Amino acid sequence: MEELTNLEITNEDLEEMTAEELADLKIELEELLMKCDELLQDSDE
Amino acid sequence: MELNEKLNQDYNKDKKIYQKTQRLQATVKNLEQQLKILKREWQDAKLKETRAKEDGDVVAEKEAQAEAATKIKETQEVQAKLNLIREVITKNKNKVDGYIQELKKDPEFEEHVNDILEKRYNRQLAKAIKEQNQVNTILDLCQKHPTLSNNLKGMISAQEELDKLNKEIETLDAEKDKDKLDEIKGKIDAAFGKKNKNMDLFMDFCTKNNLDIDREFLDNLVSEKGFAHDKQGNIKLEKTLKNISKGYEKRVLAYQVAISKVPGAKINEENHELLGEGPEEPETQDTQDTLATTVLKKLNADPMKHGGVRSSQPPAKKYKWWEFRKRFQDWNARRKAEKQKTEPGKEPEEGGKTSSEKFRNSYKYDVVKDYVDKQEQEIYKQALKDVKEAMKDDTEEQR
Repeated sequence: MEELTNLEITNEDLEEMTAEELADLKIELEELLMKCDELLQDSDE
Repeated sequence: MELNEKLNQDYNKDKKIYQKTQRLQATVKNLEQQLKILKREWQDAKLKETRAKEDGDVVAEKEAQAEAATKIKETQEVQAKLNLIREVITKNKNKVDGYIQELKKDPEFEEHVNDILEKRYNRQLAKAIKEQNQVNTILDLCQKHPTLSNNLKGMISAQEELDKLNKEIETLDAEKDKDKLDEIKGKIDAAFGKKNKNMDLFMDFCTKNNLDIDREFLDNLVSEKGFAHDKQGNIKLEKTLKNISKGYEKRVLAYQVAISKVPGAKINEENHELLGEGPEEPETQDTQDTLATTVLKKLNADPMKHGGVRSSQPPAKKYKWWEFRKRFQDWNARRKAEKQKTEPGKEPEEGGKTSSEKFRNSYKYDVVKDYVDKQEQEIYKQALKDVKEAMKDDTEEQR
């Protein structure tokens, strides 16, 4: 797995974004989190 | 609207955030595939163990047990990686949320972002409901039609074969193992053929019976989800489909909660209908999920504000044709009055906003307004048609 710190979002990254992009990003990250939780739960069963 | 979003998507690709998020998604997808394969391999090992036990083969039984234990260990390693990725995603999400909260100190920005979030969450909610409906339809079909159940099992077993073969290919050398590679490629072609043939049969039935099943969705369902097997190695179709449906139910609730948390946001008309008129759910265990109960109570407190629940609702009151005509005329007059009040670019009064007005204000594109106007004309035409039909029914009843 690649260096995880490279995947962390910085303030500079966020400053480039419009309102629409921020909203999209928020929802995308929430969905990714839901996906992770589903996978962890399924793999425990 | 769709063109604008497509342009935004293309523009996004150059930004670092887009690339980081893509890499996170790709990593999660990769780990998902690994977990799916490991689960299948563990199930195979347990099956070997059962058969060896039945045959009285102690050596084979111990080998199978060791293999099962290895798969559990490998699964735990993948879970650990997934937890690390999850931490990064959580950090990123908290950062974005914090940044948005700071910007929301500007009321204009807050309103704009809330409008966008409402629209996006409603879109995701609609997608989740429609996908859940497809899963429930597939489950219903498999319960009623053994042939279709066999078709689906055929697709799943072909996909499992493909996963196994693709994993085997990765360990081979292109030059040294050429013969073996050719053999595996032949098996892969056969497995693809089996999967597609079963899918064609399943989809033919759905098309002939006007069932709303999307081929791509079916393919993803078979490819991405790992289906459980029993001790005899048979696919536990119903149980897995019910679990998948439950997963979607959680998502649907999560999106409804998300909408309720955005100030001024509402579940839109389309989702109202989807939530109220979905197909019957398959029998599931009675969920005592407190979050679901809390959300549903909150949502049902004001049925006009939020979507209703899929469980039974009282049938709609039937109106006489003249009452329907009057209701429609009142509705149309109210709608026209609201349209005249709100001009493009001007903020509407407090508490008076509809989702269609926010939609227009947010984008301010003529093409969007033209599209919405056209939709309203279509609704009016359909309503007039309904009134005429109601009048006709009433006249026939009186005879």
